[in-house]
Amino acid sequence: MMSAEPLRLTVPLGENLLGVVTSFSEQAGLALGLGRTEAMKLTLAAEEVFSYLLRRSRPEESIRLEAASGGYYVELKLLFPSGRVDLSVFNLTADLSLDDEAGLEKLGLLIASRSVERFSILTDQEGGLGLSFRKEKKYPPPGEEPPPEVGPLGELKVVPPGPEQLKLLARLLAAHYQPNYYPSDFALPGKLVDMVGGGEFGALLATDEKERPGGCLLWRWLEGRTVLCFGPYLFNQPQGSPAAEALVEAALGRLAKTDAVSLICRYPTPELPVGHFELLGELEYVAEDGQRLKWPHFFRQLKEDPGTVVWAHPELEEFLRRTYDQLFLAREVRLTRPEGEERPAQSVLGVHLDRGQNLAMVVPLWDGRDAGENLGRHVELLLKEGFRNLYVNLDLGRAWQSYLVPDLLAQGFQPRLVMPYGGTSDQVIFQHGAEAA
Amino acid sequence: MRAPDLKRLVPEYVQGFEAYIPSKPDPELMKLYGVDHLHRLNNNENPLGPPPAARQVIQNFDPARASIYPSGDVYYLRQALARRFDMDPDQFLVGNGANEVITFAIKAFCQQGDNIVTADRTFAVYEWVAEFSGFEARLVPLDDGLGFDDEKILEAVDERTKIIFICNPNNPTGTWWDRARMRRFLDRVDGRQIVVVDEAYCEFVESPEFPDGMELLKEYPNLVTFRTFSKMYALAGLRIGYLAGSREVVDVMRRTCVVYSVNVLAQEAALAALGDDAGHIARTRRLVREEKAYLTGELGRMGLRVQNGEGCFLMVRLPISDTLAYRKLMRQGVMIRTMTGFRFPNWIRVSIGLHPAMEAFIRGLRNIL
Repeated sequence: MMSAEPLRLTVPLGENLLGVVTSFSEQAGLALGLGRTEAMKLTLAAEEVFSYLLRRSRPEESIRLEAASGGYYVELKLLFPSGRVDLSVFNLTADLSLDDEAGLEKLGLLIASRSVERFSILTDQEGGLGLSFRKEKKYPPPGEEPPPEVGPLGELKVVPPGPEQLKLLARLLAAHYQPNYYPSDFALPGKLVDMVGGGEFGALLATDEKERPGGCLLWRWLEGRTVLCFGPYLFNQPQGSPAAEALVEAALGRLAKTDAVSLICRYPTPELPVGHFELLGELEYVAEDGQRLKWPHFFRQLKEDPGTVVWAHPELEEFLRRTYDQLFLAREVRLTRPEGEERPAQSVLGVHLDRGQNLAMVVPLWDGRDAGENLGRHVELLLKEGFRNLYVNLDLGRAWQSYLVPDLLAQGFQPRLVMPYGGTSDQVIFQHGAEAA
Repeated sequence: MRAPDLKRLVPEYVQGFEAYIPSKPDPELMKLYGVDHLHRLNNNENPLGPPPAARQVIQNFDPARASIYPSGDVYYLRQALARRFDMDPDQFLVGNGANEVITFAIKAFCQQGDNIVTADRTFAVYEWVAEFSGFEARLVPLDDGLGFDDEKILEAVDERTKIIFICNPNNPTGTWWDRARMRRFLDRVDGRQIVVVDEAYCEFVESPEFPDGMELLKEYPNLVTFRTFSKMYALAGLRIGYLAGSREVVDVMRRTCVVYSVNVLAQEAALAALGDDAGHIARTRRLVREEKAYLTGELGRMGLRVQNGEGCFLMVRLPISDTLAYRKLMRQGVMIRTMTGFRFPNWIRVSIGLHPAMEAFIRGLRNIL
């Protein structure tokens, strides 16, 4: 969720305009709050993409740049006519030969995508293509000072926390909860303030008449109509404290009148009031010591379910029908598979890596005839890198993503759970090396 | 053809507003949930249907008349309302359902920077219309008894507050202000704001202490009363509701009112319903009384908390998510209203239906809890 109107620049794809593009990217990055090093990395991404396009575009074509602040990051989008970029280079497994000119050409794109924290491919209704680069600001680690002592709350009230309260919450979270209960970014006080300030995250604080912090709950807007919820977290509150339920109910009250339809809890704490949520299922999580732990996922709908359509490969149909039946979700399952139609040659898979938790989440970004082999290359690389927890997330609102199902099953993945409205429609999470759910 | 630049064309307060998505039609819902019947207990409809005279009008409607415009200002119905309430026909405005008359009021009195005040957990349309029109809706929490909190409402009012909306009895809690409390509130407002009292469910209330908004209009010229033919009169499918106020106030709202928005069948059915309502109201009240007694008994035995106020509905607090309960009950052919959207998470509202529907609801609830 962006906080302000983006800064925009449109320029023809001409060699003499490279400086304009780099100046815009750098100045926009700095103006929107990046440090010099981060702004230069964003500039590098823009420079590499522009240079690549110069060699592959017609002179009358142009490129549009949009830069916007998301609070803790700056997002730079580069939008241009489609068909100009070999997207396969954005695969984590891209293996470029530096001995030929084509390989060298693509190297720039690879550098661009790896110089930022998050990269994605955009398409628009007019047939254009875009690349989005998200560069995060750099934040200092939390200070050495211990968090204040907290105790049972007096008269409970739930309020949105201010910046200083958020900083306090970051310290309390780190002091009271193991790191697997919250995203590591929450422990950086300044970053947490900007994450909430930028609008992508929301937060509520359980406090009392003396303004003491007793707990909190945070949430994050995803791009669709789904909200991820973190917590509730309680700090030194007595067993059975009403604060956890009060936090959940207050969050529901805030989200109920928005366009969010689904609230998903992927980091449930022991304090989660389960009567407000439904268990979607469990992933397996292999801990550092090799122990296989259950990783439950909860959700609740925020609106009456109007039902929806999902696209599924026939090999996924049985799992989906069983799951929807268990969850009482009304879904029209439409079967699909590739039937000889023209498809791009090379696919692109995005990978979200969490090295701290030894976890890799793979997401299809672009369809291609080589999707199966591409998946195999990713699995091989990730296993070799020591990732013990591999997941693939398919969006059932995008029919082409279902084409990957036979390859997933053949390569040792099993569908484990469905996240309703997790993407453009429902999402299915596959896990590598797991038992079938 | 270039796509319109909606970011530029659409006002910010509309961009940020969530469109209300109504339920799919019953046949589609039945197909989705795999059921062959559906008890509609979600919209507070009257299961007895319209009064006999209104049924007759509907049955006898000549299709050829569909080509003729209706009365643009609902002339005959306003005359009848004036006779019923001993007022002037010009003190009434009739709209395409009470939702439309809410827009008349807000458009007439609010301009940029103004606000309206109402409760946080009440009929949502006051808040929606204000917000998608670009006005602030100040939402005051209900009191501990789940009723409108008069003190807090008055505290929320400032010089830019143009309208205070009171839903009496409140949907969905069924709580209500008695005559003394309503008078006290109107006295304290003292004409500084327009006070809208939405009496959509007033015909269901039997207590002599319930204030009659039409009576109060004679004393409080800043009062506007909303009523509807959708609930007690069972004409929800025809969409017709109205407001009443002092001539001066109604004259202002007439300037923002859409004429010809009420169709001819709705006008004539409402007119007939008004003239034939004594027996109908008594029958409906009896049904509501009996079925509420049945429901509260059964729900009490299940150990569930019930909020049973006035109106043709009650609320039940569940130990599971209301949206999950909705899906599970739909699988059994029972449609209720979830309350998360009303800021009552894990509560459902169930409309009073005929006894077999009430039994189906209780049976369904027992199956899922």
